[in-house]
Amino acid sequence: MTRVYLYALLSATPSCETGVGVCAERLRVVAVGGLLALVGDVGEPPEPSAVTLRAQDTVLRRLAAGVDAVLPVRFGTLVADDAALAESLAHRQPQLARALGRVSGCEQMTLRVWGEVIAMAPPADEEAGGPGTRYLAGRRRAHDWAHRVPELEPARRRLGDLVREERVERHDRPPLLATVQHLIPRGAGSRYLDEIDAARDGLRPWRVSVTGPWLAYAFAEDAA
Amino acid sequence: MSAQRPPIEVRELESLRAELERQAALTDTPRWNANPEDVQRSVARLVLTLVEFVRQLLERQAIRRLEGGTLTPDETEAVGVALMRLEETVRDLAARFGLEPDELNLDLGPLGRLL
Repeated sequence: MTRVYLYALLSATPSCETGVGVCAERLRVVAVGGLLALVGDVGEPPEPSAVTLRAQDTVLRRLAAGVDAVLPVRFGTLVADDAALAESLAHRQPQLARALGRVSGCEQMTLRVWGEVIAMAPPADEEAGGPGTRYLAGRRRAHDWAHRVPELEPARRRLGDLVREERVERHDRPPLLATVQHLIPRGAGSRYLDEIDAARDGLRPWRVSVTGPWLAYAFAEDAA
Repeated sequence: MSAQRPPIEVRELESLRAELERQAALTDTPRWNANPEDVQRSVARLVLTLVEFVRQLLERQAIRRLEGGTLTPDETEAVGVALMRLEETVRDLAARFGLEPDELNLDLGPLGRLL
């Protein structure tokens, strides 16, 4: 018995051949509730491994060349049939359509921030009040801090409008301090790298490394 | 162009691998174990995760109201104290069952992670 393996959601039918998937199955594009899903019919889903993960990425990269927006779905996503696929996507259609619009014409660069020193949060200007007030003020600062990575400000100034959207994850486990995902226009990877290189001196004592361009995996949470 | 870029150091790669392994471990599907001690721990983990989820929702709502200026100083103090004690309680109970803060989370499959 075969089941439907979901690879990605697409903004349009790819202009190139859909070709075959990770299990050598013929890929097809299914229209479901205003969305287009790239699927394959498989007996068993591929086992997660470096090889199969790379193979799935290769499939999607090939198709991305023929369509503006590719929203990758979590590896190993399997449904019983096309009807079950339609049902699982129906209630998330608005979010998924928005996510497709967000990644349209874009690709992802991944920036990692390294260093031995964890940046300190700015001192509070609201230390007045009782313990509850101070606690809440501290939580507010911590929340803000977790989503900013101020160490990167010199790079952000240089990147300017090149970055359409940002996702931040703080680790604060030296030397790995943070991972920052940037959504940039397709084809702008070289310019992005040049801007980061130009910002390196201003970023000290922190160091950064860049990988990419990738498909917009970090911006596909709605399709995960 | 790439020759001018500083190479990634071994220590940096090791810390990245450790972080990825930590995150992968967090997404492992929890298994129900017949050992009575583990059953208690699993139930405690589930309950405390849900309490932590509610606590974080309340905290975000309180911060939004604080930023919106819709909390009086007395209300800010009362909400802050309540959230602080709730956090302490969750932390104490988690420690009693040997649970790390990172373990208070649930993988909701297609919906992602709870926290």
